Amino acid sequence: MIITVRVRDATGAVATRQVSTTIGGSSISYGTYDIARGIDATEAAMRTAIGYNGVLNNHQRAYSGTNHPLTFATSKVANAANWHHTAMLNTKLTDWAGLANGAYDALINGFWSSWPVGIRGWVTCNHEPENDGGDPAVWVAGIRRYVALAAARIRARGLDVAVGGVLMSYSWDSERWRDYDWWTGLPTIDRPQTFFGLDHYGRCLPGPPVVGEDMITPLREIIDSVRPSGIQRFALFECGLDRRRKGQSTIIGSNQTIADWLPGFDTGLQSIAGMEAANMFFSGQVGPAAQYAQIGGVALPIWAQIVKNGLP
Amino acid sequence: MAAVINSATLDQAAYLSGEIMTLTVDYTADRTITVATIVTDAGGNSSAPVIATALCGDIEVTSDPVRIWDLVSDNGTVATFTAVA
Repeated sequence: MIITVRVRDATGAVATRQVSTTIGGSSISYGTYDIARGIDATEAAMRTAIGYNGVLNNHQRAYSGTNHPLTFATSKVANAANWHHTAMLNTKLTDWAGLANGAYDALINGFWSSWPVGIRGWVTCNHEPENDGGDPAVWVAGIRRYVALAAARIRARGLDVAVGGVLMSYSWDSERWRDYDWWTGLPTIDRPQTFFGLDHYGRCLPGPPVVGEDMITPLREIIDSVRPSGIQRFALFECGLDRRRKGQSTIIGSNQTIADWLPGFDTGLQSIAGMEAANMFFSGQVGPAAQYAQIGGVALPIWAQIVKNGLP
Repeated sequence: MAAVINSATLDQAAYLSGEIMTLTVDYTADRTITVATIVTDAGGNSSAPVIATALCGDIEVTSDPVRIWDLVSDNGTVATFTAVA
């Protein structure tokens, strides 16, 4: 990183000086979420594919269902430290208005008071609000309250966890994202503990050969539009290449398409400053009707190796 | 007197993504302007001058890749900024 300092005095004279530094340790924490197989079976398949016996996924991703856990120990990432390195947790409080009005403050403070020191993670509440049909303004008020409470506990306890809101990247296909803008005006004090999250999917483009679309360019554009808010940490709670043709429902992609697309996607994510974690999401559907590629065929060892490369 | 940046130093040689970077800038620049106000009436009688000073000029930090650098303090010779790595 090149940092430039400019000082201008009262006469208009300008002095400039540059200083450089290195930002390292930015290997992305990769995880795999397979609804059908579950994390253990997925892990086993990935290990076999590349002949590796250690834990592969960098993080365990889990969804709390319709309830927010009371404590870390009762959450679905409770065993993250035993089997995986970090935790990515998606919590839910369906009562958006209650969240915004403080009805769950005690629950939230209790949960964040229970998160163990030393377990790295990313946590959100009510991700993909675009799919839930509620009032966006209420959701924004709720996630802002959640972030403020969590960030304060993170700071007070010295936790290595980030908290943030997670939207669907397709909200940037139109101006809909403006309805869910929770990041603008985020208090400066909360920025270091906050990440900006997305669920980000792409489609296949017709060939020959059929290829996965460039998912990095639009992702970078969205993230760059968020940076002025002061948030500099980013995570993909879900990502993947949909095998359907872009703009249509016809499946044209294959495991080979996924295998060919994965390395470029990995390289692209690595090039985005502040991208900390990404979870490859598999729908659990199997067979030719599956929307998203499974961890199978020629794509399996490619993905497993990418995840292994990101191990600490 | 021209503006001079004597030093610009970071609190660490390298950072992990997400860490707080603290930049301290030691500079010399006369950023003070002095304004003297004198009121003269129709008869040509002038008041004693009232002297006021104000801080002019500025100091800014940018980076590539882009980060938001927040000014934490500035006493006229030493300024401190922070940003998230």
